[in-house]
Amino acid sequence: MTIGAWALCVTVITSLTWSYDLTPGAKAAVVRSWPSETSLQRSDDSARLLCFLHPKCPCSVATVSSLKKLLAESDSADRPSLTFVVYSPPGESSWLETTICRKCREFPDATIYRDEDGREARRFGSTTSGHVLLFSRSGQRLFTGGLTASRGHDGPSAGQEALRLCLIAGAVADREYCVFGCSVTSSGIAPSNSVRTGQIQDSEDLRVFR
Amino acid sequence: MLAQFVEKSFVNSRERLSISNSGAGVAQRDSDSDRQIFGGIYSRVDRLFAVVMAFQGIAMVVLALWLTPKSWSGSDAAIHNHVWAAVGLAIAITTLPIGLALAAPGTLKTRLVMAVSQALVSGLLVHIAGGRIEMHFHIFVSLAFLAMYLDMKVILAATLVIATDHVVRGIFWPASIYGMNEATILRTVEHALWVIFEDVILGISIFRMRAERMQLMTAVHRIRECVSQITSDQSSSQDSADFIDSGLQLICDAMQRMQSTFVQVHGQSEVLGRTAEKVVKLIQEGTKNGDRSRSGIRALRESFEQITKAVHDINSVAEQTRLLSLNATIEAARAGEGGAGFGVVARNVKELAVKSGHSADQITRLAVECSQQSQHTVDGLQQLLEQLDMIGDMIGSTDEVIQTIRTDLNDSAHEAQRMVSAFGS
Repeated sequence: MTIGAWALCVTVITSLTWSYDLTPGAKAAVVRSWPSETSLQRSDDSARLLCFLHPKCPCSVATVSSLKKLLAESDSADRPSLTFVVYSPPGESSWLETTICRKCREFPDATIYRDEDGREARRFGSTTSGHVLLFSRSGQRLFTGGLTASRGHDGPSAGQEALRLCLIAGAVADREYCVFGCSVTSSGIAPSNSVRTGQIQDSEDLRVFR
Repeated sequence: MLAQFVEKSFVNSRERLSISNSGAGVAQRDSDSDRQIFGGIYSRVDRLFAVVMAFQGIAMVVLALWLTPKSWSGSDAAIHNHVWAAVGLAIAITTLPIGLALAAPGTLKTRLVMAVSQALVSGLLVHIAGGRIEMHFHIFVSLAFLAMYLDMKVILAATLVIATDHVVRGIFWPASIYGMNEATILRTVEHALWVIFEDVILGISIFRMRAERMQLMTAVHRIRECVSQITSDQSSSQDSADFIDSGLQLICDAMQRMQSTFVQVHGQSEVLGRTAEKVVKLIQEGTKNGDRSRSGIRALRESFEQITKAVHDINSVAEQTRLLSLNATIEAARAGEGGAGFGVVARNVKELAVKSGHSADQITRLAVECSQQSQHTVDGLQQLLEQLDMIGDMIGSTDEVIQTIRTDLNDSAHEAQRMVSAFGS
């Protein structure tokens, strides 16, 4: 009896933990094209890759690591211009001195944008740290979603595979991929009130266009 | 007495030998009891794993606090759910095994719960590490630690949990167990083969160690049986001890008597030595006196020879006197009557000369005899002196022997005293 209760307790807590790890951040309405009201500059010379981050989110370290591996695989000529949009409370510049920000500075030719109070995140419809957006030269969205399979888990994922195809083959993903991380807006939607995908999509959901 | 003592000791040894032979049967019967032989190991390893479990629980919480301390919503922070999950799982996983280790150590239930808990900790650590292959080392280390139980059931229970975890997560969440999303069944089989390989090696080791443990416990049981028998025969042992004590007392008394005898003989030898020294001195003095006597006798003999010469002179005078008396007689006869008186005197003188000659001859004869007697005396005295010299030499040699005997007796007396002191203590 005691052992049964113990096994049940362990199973329940483990299931809750795994459920939390597999629960993505809040799903929001992500822009389909480059928004006109943004302060971020778009370049006609190259695609634009945005990565929204919360500088103190422990799970987003895995996203930065995954992104580094992905960009290392792509040809430098076709490599998009990368901007890390890092959340910062109003008047708090010290938040850009975290471990994640130091890792971001290791990227060559990358820009770190201090997103005060998450205004740019709201303009692009991003709510969760680790959210990656890829826009074409014309400003059309090619990819939206996360690069990790669960919270803080580095390694291969469906989001990574989709972004790889977008970068290499110019494909466009017609669906969003789960993002696992903290909220990048102070008025972020709590995961419990959000719409959750709960499933990891694979690269078959991609369609290729030229 | 000594022979009796040896015989009794031999009998006691034989009885003890028969006791040890009967102990093997008792140990064989007890070898069926797994708990009796391995209970101590089970309990010790239970307590060890209770400590390890507590350490792992704390480590899980510390790891969660270090890696994911807070979750953020903009500028608002809250304790990360991983921390709560680590606390909850640490309590949930470790509470029961620690409690069982304290409340019911050494039982099969405790061991199996401990094995399952350890496997769950391994699985959780692999998950927290995002399926890093290095964290799978914890599984193999855990199996090796669990082998300390020397119970294959524990290894199999942990293996079952590990295998289930790998299969289930390999199918539904491969990134959590292998660090990648697309894991084939071959990867699970590969991991399983490594675990099976370790299980086989551990199984062989456990089998051998259990056999050695059983042999050891059998030997210990025999020793305990012997000790118990010796304790029960305490009265017999006490008799033996008294017997030995009385034997030693006898030996001690004999040694003391022998020591006193040595002392007495040593004293007598000292007296004998002193007597010999005195005899030697007396002989030396006698020799000197003999030499002096021999010189005196020689002087006496010379005096006798001078007497003989003097008597010879007297005898010559007596002869001349007798011739003179004869002439006087002749002259008296010629003188006639007037010479008659002179003739009487001449005859008297003649008679006196004859008597003097006879006395001189007698003195000469006596002097010769005395001289001969003194020569015999000198010869006898010479032999006596030679014999005294021989006796002195013999006594000198005897004195050296006596000195050697005295030294040996002195050493023997000291040795006897030491043995008496040793036995007495």
